[in-house]
Amino acid sequence: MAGLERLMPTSELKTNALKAFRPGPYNPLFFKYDSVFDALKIQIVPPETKTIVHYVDDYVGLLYTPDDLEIVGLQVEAFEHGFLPSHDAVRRVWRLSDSCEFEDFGDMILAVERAKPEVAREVVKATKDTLDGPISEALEHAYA
Amino acid sequence: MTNVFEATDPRGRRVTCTDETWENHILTGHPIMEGQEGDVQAAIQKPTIGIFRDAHFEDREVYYLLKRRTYVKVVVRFDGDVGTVITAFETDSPKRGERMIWPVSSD
Repeated sequence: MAGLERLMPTSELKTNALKAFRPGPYNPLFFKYDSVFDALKIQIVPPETKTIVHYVDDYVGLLYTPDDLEIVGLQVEAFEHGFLPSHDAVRRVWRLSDSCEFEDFGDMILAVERAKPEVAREVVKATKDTLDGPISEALEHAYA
Repeated sequence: MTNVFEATDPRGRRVTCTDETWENHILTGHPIMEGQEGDVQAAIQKPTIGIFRDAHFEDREVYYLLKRRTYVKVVVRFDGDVGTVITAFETDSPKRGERMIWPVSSD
């Protein structure tokens, strides 16, 4: 794309927060899928955290906090339109909750919650080739 | 549903942003946008460099406004000459695959 410059080199972003993150029941990954924009956000900080998007390719942006430049998540754009069709493993886990027959709403919520970490892992695997090694490793650690 | 703002882009196309989009898609997805209605409107009225076609959706156009260390990025879905903001957030970089559609090069 002509004209617009990258204002922040990827090498300036930090991975300390990702490396220190230990996922668990009291330390969840936060998911948000915007069906209008068609973008999935997966982050290790609460949704109210202010973040900036740093694009690494035509689907994926790293999310980082402006004050300390710590990477805290990923944003995948055109998620259902383009990303899922080209990543079978992500599509499989993303559709998991749709394909089950649920006894009630509680079962559905449980299935979605169970699927989240797997979606996160598969998204990180799918983006491995486009991310710098240390960033990819830190994301793998955080989303393990 | 009411509009947070209406703006006209440099081509004369009208773009609206509803309060539902502002609250449920922009602020909940990107809290950094709190209080930046004016910047989103300015991005549409006087975009930095130009207007871009989205990398994946033919009916979406993208406006950037350069701030001090970031751009405000605004994604608009067009139906004919009428556009609706679908999201806006801060980014430090353009996205690969977006192509400039205005101004059109005279080369």
